[in-house]
Amino acid sequence: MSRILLVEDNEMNRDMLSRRLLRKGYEVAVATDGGEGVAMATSERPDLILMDMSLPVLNGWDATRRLKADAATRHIPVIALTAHAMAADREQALGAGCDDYETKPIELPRLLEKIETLLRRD
Amino acid sequence: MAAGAIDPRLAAIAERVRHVVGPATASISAAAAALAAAPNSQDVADEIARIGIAAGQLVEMVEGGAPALGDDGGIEAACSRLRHDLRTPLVALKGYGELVLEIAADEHLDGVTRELGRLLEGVAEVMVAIERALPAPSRAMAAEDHGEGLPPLHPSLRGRILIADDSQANRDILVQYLGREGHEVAAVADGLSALDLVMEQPFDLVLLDMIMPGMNGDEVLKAIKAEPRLRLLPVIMISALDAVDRIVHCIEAGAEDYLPKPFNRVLLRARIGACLEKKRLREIELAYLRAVESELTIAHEVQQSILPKGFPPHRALAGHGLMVPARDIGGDFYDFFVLDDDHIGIALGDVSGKGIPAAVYMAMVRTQLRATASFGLAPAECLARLNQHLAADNPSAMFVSLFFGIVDCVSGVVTYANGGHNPPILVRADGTTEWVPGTGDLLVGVLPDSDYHEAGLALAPGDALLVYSDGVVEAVGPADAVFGEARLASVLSGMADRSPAALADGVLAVVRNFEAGQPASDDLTCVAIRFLGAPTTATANSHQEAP
Amino acid sequence: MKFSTSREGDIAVITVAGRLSSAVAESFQTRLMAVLDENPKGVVVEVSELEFIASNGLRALILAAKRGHAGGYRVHLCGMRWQIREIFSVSGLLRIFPHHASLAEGLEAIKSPIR
Repeated sequence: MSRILLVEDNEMNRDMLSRRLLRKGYEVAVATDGGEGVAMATSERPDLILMDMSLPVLNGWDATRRLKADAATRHIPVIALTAHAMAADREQALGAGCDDYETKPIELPRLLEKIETLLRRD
Repeated sequence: MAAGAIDPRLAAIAERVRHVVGPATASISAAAAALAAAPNSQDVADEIARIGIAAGQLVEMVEGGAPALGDDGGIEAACSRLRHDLRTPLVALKGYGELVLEIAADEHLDGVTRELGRLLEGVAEVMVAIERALPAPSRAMAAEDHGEGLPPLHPSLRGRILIADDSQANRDILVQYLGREGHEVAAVADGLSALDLVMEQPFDLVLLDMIMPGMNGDEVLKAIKAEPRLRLLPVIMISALDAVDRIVHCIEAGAEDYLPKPFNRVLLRARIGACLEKKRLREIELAYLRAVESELTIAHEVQQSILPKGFPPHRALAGHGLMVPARDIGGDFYDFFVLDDDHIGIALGDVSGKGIPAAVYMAMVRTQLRATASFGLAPAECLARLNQHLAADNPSAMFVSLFFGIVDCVSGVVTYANGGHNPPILVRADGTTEWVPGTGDLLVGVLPDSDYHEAGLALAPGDALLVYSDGVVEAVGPADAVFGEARLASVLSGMADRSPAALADGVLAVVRNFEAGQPASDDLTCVAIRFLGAPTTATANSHQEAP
Repeated sequence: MKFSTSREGDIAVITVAGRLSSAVAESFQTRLMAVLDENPKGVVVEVSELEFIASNGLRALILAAKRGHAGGYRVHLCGMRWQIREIFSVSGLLRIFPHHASLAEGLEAIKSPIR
């Protein structure tokens, strides 16, 4: 069973997405800010990370960069969750090292497909 | 902003959100309520409760009132934040809605399904409405301006503006408005800070409040105008209209204009625009003048660099050249070079035009002449070849008048060719002068296949030859008198015994004297040579020239 | 420098007076070329009041002569004062510009079929 780390500061969104992923059969761990996200990724080594881009403490881009710079966590696929579908946001996410991105509000089937593609990659 | 004062623009936005997004929001609230009351809803009570909370958050935000201006101070940023804030509960609503829909499908909770459908439709409608009310940043400004009647400011009319006003409210309004216009804005609360800032950073305009604690606006104005490097910095005084005397005084002290309080956006834009435009034009002018200066400097350097450093030492021939450039250089050059032990080439030319093109052309002529002469070609042939080369590709019709002679230092015979240049003058040892006959040939570089003829003159020991440019004979004195050939001949016959250097200097001195302070309009160039003959015939009078 | 133009049928008549210094030479050239842009069948430059011409001015006239060469006409000079004639003589330019003592003679020379 694949383990997903969800890094999202908005309580509602965090709860909503966890529930939906749980229903789809994933194990879900949550972090509420970027710093916690990096720490948990390092200690728990999830199979995939869903990273909200606008986080407190450490924003999503910087958190991703850190994870991609660390040999221990580099291989973990990261999907950015961006608030707007602006081209700049997409480029920024991919530039920070994200493996894919999804804009809010999430289209779950599409997100699931992306998750599966990245999990299968290893 | 001062407490209690809401920016009218933000209030307008809040109104638009209420108006455009409000109705769709109402339908979400209704659907959420219906959902809570639906049969079988207890199985998804938790999720439905959250839907209710999210719906409530959305309604609160939509009805809520004007967004706040943040640290970034811009309307655009406030709108962006509002847009983001409105979408957040919507994301939750959609997510939970779909979640419950899935659960309901799996567990056959029919009563819930229909209401969920309505909820999700409402969410989609609100999202569209938000885009209409608060378009994405790049369109926000244009949309706003559309509502207010002023077209967006052209990028070239923007600048760095310093605001000095002790009222926080005024500073905020100006910063916000000018920032939206695309200007880079800095704001300070007192005169001293304004002065400090303006000294250390470049600004295109200063808006100065007349009355401030510490240094007053007019004192700051005077300090700015007293600083040489801030001479071109425009200052606009801000004041209430009852201080007309002081305004006039400031304008006399160098302020560009004044702006009355309370601010009028149209006036603000017009006066600031006018100021920045004027400053820009003045700067363009200065830049142009500097460019012209630097072009002239380069041309001047090229001209200097191609002139020979000294006359080649030879026991039988002494010589000296001088070229005094006019301010706008006129394209003169001269050259002397050794061809072999007994032959020295002398050239003097005047290139049409001035500036860098003339300097480049000049360098080309001089190089080419030396090259052809070094092959042992006779002067006429050298000129013919030079002419072919120059006339071949010459869309700008540049040309050079050129005298070129080869001195046989044993015999004193000068073989020469003359392409449209002033005839040189012989100064015999006894003081008589003779004009060297021209060859009737055309300026070099005008027509391909032009013919050039050769002629010779014989220098006896002690005889001198002066080659010169028209800057000498066409020098203008008071009452438009022209120096002329006759005067030159007369002057020279009195200098027959001088060394070439003294001769050349003498001519220069006489011409300058004649001009009596009038600025020279052309380069002044001359080359003087004296044939000394075989060592045994060197006369006691002639000075051995150390080149 | 005064510059004026008129027409004698297909022939452009340009009158230049005063001092053609390098400062005004560019303006002279522009106006001269504008006249040539109208494709005259002949060009006469009346210079009886011209006191001085700088090398840039000569250049403009040379450019005109070259255009004339391509356009099938020559640039005639009329009424040169002796200083101006000297300049044209020394520079060898008299060969390129047919010259006449007066405007009337110049026009006559152009109109007459004998070249």
